[in-house]
Amino acid sequence: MEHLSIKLDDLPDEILIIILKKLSNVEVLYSLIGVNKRLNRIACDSVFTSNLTLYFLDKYIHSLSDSMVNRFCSQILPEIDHKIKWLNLESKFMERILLAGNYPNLYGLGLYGIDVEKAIYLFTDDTTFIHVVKNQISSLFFYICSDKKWIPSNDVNKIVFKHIFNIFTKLEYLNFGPSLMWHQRFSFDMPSPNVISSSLLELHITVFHFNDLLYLLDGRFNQLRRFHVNIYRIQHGSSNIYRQEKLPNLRCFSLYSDMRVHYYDEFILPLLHRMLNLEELDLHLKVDRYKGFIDGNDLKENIINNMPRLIQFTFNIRLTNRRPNQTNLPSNEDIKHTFKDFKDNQIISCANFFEENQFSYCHIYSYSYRMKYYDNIKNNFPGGLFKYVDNVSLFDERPFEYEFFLQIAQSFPFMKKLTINNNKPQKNKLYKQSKKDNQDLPIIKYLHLTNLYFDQAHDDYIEQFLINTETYLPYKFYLFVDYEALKRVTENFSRHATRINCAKVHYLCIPNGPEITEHMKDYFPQINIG
Amino acid sequence: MAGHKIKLQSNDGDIFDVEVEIAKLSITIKTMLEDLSMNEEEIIPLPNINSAIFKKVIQWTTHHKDDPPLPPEDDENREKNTNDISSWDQEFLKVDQGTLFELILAANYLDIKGLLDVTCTSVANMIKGKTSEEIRQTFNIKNDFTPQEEEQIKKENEWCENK
Repeated sequence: MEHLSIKLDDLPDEILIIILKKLSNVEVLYSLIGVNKRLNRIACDSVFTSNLTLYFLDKYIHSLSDSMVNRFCSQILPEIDHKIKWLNLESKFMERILLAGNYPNLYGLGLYGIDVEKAIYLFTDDTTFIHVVKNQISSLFFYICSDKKWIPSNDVNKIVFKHIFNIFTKLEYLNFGPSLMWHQRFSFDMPSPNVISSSLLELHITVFHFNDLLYLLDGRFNQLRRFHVNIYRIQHGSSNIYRQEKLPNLRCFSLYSDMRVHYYDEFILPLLHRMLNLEELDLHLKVDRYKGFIDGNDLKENIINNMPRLIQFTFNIRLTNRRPNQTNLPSNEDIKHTFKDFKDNQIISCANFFEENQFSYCHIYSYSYRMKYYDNIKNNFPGGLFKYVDNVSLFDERPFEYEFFLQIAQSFPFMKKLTINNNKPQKNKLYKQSKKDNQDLPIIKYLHLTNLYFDQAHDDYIEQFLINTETYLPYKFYLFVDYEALKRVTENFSRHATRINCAKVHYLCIPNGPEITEHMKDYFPQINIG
Repeated sequence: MAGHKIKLQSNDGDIFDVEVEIAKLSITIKTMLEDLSMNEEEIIPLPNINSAIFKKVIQWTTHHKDDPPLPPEDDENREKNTNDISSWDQEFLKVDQGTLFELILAANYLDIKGLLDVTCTSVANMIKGKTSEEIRQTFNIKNDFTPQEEEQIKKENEWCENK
């Protein structure tokens, strides 16, 4: 068979581009610049040069090797600097790379993994950005990494934030990721920095308090059109120290908070009422509320009717009511009915009352669901396909049966982490067993699962997941489970039916369990001990 | 219908009986059968693929016919991961460079995304981390820069280094 007639250089440009797109742009440029004229031309194409990331990324940021940086600074960057529009850099070689070219068309900078000391240096010493025309930068991503140095760095975040606007005077887009270490969380507590910009159009930021959001919206960014904010805590004590005038220029607002919000009516709604001309609104909140559920009528009355220009409203609101009036609880159907006028989006609602724990819970969201997690799923989960979700938790006071788990596996085909919290025994276990013997029930497959947590789970669920003829689990998964329950289900680590799935456990966490014995190691041959 | 077959003819005249479900992993063939209403009794010509390469394509599609759907690509955090070639595919791709490049062309013509992905990833891995000189050696590529052009590049570099 003679195949040597075709060589890499014989492949058409479009195929070479498909191949090279499997690599990062930095790898393409490093390997192909200077090979021959054709490959040089392809590597210099704007596909590989207009947006350049000069570090490697897996879970962490890794600097380029010294030899790569030398080649980039001496040969590659001078050849392509006029084509670069956006540069992403990391801490170690950032200054060297910025000084290696002229970058006449650069408008965007991404500075990642910058440690606290470097951040201070960068924005108080002016030399780094001398070579880059500061006025040409209109977009900036700036991420300070969480280091362990004890610097009272709430001040650092404030100093950096202030200097960004001093240095980049034409900034239109800022994505500011402050350090998330607890002692470095970003807050504009008094004294607040004096920052003003009339050029900033879009801001993405993570802040600590609701007050910080009020600071940012007190008129200092008077041209702001798009604002995406992630708040760590929305708590009592947020006050009205900042001006709270209307925000007629704001067109798009996105608010995320994963901590419980106790003051939805007191804080969130008045804030939204300032946004007269909003066209896009995105709310992701966990709300604790002592009055009724947030349903379609509530959203219309308190939000939509106040925003005549609103075109797109997406939301994911999980509401817990800890003092529900049981006699007056709306049904799931009642809530669904309140969304009948929401024509542009499909709205999903699930409402439950938990008698033992004395709280009611209502989850409403617009579909399709773009979040990476979906928590507290109950038996009344309505199904659907959730391609982006990789983290799922299940909780109910009624037992989960086989069909429920089958639905979960189908609805979350790319789920990696699953937490089960249900202490009720399965009712249909015997029925399931007889069907299983007749081979009518297919094995439930969790093809991408890597972490499995049993949190106050009845033995029936642990058993269902560990018996390989009922559940398929991938190799090398993390298992968190109560030791005594595990011992019972595996019949003191000797049961044949659970042996195959237990052999796939890569990391076993048994809180309050004893030391792992040789006997257990035989049953879990792959484990690292947790 | 499981087991139902169609006839496909390579450019060197060999005719292959291929299960419809396997053949339909090729969007090109699927389109011929469904949109162009081609008769399943007809022999479908594949003018761009020889029989040796087509055998490899059938081997790959047969093995991957029940693969689960790929996870959606996350545009925001998409990492260039060239390490996730399964051990079966790694074994399958232990071929000479000419065969590998012909497989890429066949996958592109037949529009088989999975095969195109894995073959291109395999070539990308051969490129990764190599210097330009190593690339020329690995892929037998001639340096067509003239000495004057190389000298010019060298001078520019020296200028940059002294800047």
